[in-house]
Amino acid sequence: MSAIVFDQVAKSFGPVRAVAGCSLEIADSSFLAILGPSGCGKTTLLRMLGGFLTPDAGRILIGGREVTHLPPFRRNLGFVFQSYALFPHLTIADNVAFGLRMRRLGAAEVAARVRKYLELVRLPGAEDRYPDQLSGGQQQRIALARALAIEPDVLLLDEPLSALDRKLREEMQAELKEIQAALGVTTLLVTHDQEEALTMADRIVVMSAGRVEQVGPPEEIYEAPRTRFVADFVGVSNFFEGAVVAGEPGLFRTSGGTTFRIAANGHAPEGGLVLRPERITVHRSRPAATPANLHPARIVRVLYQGQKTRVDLKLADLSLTAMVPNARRGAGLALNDEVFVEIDPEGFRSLAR
Amino acid sequence: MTALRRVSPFQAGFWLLAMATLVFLLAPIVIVVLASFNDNQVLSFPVDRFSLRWYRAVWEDFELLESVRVSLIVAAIATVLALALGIPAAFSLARYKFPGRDMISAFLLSPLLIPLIALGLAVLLLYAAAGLRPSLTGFILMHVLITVPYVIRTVLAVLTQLDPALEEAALSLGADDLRTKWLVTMPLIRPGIIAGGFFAFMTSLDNVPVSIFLGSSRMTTLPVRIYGQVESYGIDPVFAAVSTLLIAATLAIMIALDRIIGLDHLK
Repeated sequence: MSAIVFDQVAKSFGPVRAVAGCSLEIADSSFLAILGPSGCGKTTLLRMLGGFLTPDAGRILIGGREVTHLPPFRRNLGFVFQSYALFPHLTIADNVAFGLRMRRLGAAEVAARVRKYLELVRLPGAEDRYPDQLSGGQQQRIALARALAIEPDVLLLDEPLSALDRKLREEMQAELKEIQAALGVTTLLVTHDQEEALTMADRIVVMSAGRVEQVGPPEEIYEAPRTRFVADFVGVSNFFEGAVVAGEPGLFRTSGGTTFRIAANGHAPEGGLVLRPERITVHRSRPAATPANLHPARIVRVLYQGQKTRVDLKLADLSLTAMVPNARRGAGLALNDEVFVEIDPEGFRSLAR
Repeated sequence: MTALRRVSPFQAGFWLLAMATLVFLLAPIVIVVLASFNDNQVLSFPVDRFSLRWYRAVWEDFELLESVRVSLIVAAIATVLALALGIPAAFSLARYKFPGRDMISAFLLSPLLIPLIALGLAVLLLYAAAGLRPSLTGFILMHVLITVPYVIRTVLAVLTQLDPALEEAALSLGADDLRTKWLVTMPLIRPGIIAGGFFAFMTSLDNVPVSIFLGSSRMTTLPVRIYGQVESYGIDPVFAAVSTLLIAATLAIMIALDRIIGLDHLK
């Protein structure tokens, strides 16, 4: 169980800069997710930590030990691959025992650990079967058991759940999180699935074009995105271009001329404002009390999504998206309804340019 | 009355075509096998009187047995060498990108494309120009040259299908490169290796164009001897007996391979 440090790590493939001078620290026993679109460099970062790629520049440390140029078999890392990569010619027991035999553990110790980790992933009794006799979800568990059985310093997960169907994926997310917390193993997850990152990780690193955009706990990434990229990539966002009215720091005027009351939250909104859709309340008629921000709007699209309804609105020249919880029978909103939109001033966040 | 399953004309036609193809492929083999058991002095079919005399004749024909021995030795050594060269070559072609890779790949596979008769003649001329005498070593090396493409092709096929994550998984679990190759890669590409070896062996055993140029009176392979004998003395039933023995041996190997790796892999 060890802390990981990426120190100014860079990697290019020919003319393509996959990772551009990236520095990161991952606390001991924590669960960190690297989130980003494909090609953002997250997999390259993971593979450099795993020892399958050597950085062009920079250093990587695990538990204070530099591993930058160490081959993978000397790093003591548990790697779970997207394709599971179970050895098809070996039984489940031999798969889980593979790393233990490489460490020359005694037969009794190997058998005990195989049993322990198969129980941990809730597949005891699978010892004598072959990988192709198991379902995708079961193979995933075996891959996890095999990676954990060597009691690695760090657990690396490369899009481990992307091949599973939704329901199974959600179950595995919860289970993986529990196992990780129980063992306290430092874990690095690479994913393009924001829900996976938000659900499982203690901290999230959002990457774009080889750079770290933002690092923070899931709530902070979602509630307080710092850049337009993060706001756009994680969840649904409403963006507002404009500037604070001179002499009135609590008032923001959009480039179209609409004004909103905003909570003064430190720095000036150079990159405009972002607003999460659930911060918008849609009223079917003018409410009795007048809130800070109340604007008439027209509904241009209604998308029923089960727990909630997505409502797209036209407010003056602005296009907004609201998420309305579906209490009882839908949101009771229809296309072309004239409504009133209430926005919590605390919901606005300034974006860095 | 039992209901007849309806068969469309298309299905019936397809079935007939399949049968005809099968007969076309198998009939000559079946006839040779049957004729080898015929007591007749000349190779003839159908069988008049069953006899094993031609098998006894094989056993008593010293020159024929000697050529079988030469063929088997050459094929065995050539196969081993073709595997020893072909497997690493396939690895390099599958795993590494290096300048001229496509050219080298084409070059290594070229013996499949060049007419073997031209290759045999070319080597014979080379020998003459270099003042080399026909030797068993040179003979075997030529057989390696014509068999190695089969090994490269089959091993390359399984290697490129192999998920690279399998080797990475072994590495991450603490196996060094050698143990990863030995414990994970080799077992997984074994079907390709066995298939390649089988093709190499059969190709060498069967080869005439190269063997005919490089052989000598003391180094004659079975197919070359058969050609020579047939040319000089006509079709002796003893060759039907030898052919039948070869077919039986091949079948035995194929069945054994099917048991080990499944014939589906022999593509």
